[in-house]
Amino acid sequence: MNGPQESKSERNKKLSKASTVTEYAAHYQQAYPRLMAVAAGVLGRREGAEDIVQDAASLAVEKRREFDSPAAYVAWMFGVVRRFALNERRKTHRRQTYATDPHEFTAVSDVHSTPGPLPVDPCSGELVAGQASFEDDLLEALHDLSEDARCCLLLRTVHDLSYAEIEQLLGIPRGTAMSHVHRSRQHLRTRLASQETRT
Amino acid sequence: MIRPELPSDDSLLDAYLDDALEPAAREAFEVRLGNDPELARQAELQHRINASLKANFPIDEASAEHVAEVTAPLEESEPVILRFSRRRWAWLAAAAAVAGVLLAWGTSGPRRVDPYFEPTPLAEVYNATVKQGFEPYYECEDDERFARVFSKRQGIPLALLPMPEGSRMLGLSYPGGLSRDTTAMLCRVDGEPVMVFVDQPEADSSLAAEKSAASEDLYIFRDEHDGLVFYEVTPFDTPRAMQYLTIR
Repeated sequence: MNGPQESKSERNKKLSKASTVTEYAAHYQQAYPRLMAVAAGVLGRREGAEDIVQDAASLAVEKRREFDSPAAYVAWMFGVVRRFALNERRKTHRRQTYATDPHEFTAVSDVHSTPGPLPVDPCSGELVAGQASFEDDLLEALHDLSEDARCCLLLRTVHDLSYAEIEQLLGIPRGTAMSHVHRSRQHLRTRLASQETRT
Repeated sequence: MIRPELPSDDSLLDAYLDDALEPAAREAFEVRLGNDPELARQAELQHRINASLKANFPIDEASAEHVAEVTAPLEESEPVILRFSRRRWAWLAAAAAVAGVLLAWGTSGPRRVDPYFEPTPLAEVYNATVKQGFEPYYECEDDERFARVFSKRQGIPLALLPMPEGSRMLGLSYPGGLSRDTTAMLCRVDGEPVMVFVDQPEADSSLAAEKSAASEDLYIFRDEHDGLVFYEVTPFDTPRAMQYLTIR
């Protein structure tokens, strides 16, 4: 409760500040699922995405005075999340030249064609059932795509964003986003259809 | 020869899955699905992929604690310090959630549907690229890869001959335009942005050279050789880049 000695301007300042924080919180909360999608898209997995968004949010707080609105502030965070996720991916993957052209899936597909260690059931010692399931194949096939292609695919398929919205979030031309989604779908279908034929 | 672009089965499937087909086209496509087992199999597979992506990458919501943690420094470092108890933070987060819903409701409106592909006037693509900083999507300095990009996208490997002093190629972009596969070469000529668009003649459209008021100062040049169509969009009154693209 405000004391009688508190001036009107001080009270207004507090109200204005509280509204800015609330406004920022609302924008951040609204953007959060998409920020997570961008991080997961670049990484190719959900694990670690939350830490990246958290780190980006911390940096954004330090830079907050450079923006004239909470909306601009949150929009800038998409670029930071993407950059942080790219750095993280580079740190955790051995150096590869990833093709940025959605046509060039083959340039990276060989990297994942060598199977890694497979999980073993601790009781039976057998390979875990379902490891070669559709979802596992899909998650593996996702790594054939470039980082941007994965982001576009997730934002379009899971978050139902329009290509105009993807253009705005990722700062890539709308045509490129469409091309990424189209070719990613094509590639995943081809890859999974061939896996199913093999099994 | 200029022909209207006919959407491929893949494009139609995309549009169908994106719910972007007009009712009549949708109905016709569903009839085809009933008669074409391969197409139906592709559609079913894509549905499974989409469902699996949604299951493996569910939409993550920010918890109230997380929002509170992120917004706390906004409070602490300002001259007017408002320290909220945990209970007040919970209220704040709840208010933020309501505001978020209102924001989303206020800005969403009726769902906009993307068409499968619409050719865009190239001057419009040029202006949008300049507005976005005129940065290529793909900096390509390797001749082999440069040729391979065109080979894969347009079916013909292209090479770039040495450009004269004052002109340089920045890289390649895939900004659409004539078709999904249009490849654009971004150049700087005497400091000015110049774009060369390359595609197959089948994708050519009279829309390519259309200009609006925003692009009336631009020049558009067209050439066709070696089974490809080339457009240069430039502020200069003569082509300064397209002639250096040649078959490899």
